[in-house]
Amino acid sequence: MSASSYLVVDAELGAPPYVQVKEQVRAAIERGELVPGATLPTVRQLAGDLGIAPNTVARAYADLQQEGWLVSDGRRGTRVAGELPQLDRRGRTRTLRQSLERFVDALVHRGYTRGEIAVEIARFL
Amino acid sequence: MHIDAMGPDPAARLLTAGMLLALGIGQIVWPRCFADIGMYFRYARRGLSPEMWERVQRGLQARREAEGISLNRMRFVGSLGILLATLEFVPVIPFAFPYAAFCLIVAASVVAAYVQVRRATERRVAPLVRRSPLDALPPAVIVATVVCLAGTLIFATYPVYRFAALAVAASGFVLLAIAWRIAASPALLLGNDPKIEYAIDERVRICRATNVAFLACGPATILTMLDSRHLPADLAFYGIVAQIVWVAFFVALIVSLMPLRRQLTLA
Repeated sequence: MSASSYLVVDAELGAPPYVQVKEQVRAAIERGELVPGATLPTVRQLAGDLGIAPNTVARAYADLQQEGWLVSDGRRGTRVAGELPQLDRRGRTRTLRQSLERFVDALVHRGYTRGEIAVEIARFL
Repeated sequence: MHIDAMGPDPAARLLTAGMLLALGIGQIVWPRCFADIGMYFRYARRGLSPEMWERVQRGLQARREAEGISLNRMRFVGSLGILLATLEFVPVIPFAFPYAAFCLIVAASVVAAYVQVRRATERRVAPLVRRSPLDALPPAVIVATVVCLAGTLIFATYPVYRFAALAVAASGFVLLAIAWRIAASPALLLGNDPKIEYAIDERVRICRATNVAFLACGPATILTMLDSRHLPADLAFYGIVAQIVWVAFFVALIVSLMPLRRQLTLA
């Protein structure tokens, strides 16, 4: 079976692993890589692939369920919700800022200066 | 030595010893021939652009380095094969036993590669797709292997072959359990090129799981085929069992070869 989205848990990042999982799953849904009704990996499988504790993945899934992104479908497992929560303009901006903050933090952590990052982003865009 | 005391004829021992010797020498001279993951991708190039194939090659190289299957380890496995070949000339040891032990050693070296790759990287990447072990180890292979091993257990009801049949069946069930473990093992992606790495991981998992299950069928088939030739004519039932095991062996062989011919699927 082919995959269109991948998760990375980086121990060097400041964010705890469950937040990293949660944000990336949500981002995959927002980008349309995970469509409504799509089945997610089991907690056990994802925890095994990422080398983290199952409780960490379970917590991320539980948060996303609470926020309306995922639904638990009994024996069929966890799926992307049929009706996704709508983000208002302020919410979208907040999410974008948070993502950029994490992205820049990760690069600064790896030794790049903010100036270097800004130049490369401007060139990329 | 009377045939009932010795079990199968000396030809069976010579045949198995020759096979183990050839496998052992092959492993020592060409240590990559059984261990290298490149053999699972021999027919994968069809339909891929040169750039994509280049990425696959890079992914394979990264995976090889992460698995760290040392050539010396494979040569050691080959040496054990030669050592086990000499055991074929010890009459108290059932002739199928050294071959079963060799299959277990080969499977253990595959498991060692998985352990090594898990320790190779701090960063973990996971595909957001649900997998089932049955995707990697098709039910047809499981059924064929269980039929082979059940047939071997039926031979355990005949006193002369009891020990040999039980030993071979036990090693076969251990191999089947290892095959299942490989099929259910986590995805091992290094994160450099996840799309390619996932395609490689899937293919390696399928090929290794089916190959290890097929390994379980080998000793069982050899034991039942060679032993059934020495049974009295009034015990034709064992001959029928041996034929069924033979058919199951071929089913397992064909199903385990099929993934090798498949085109590489990239999302």
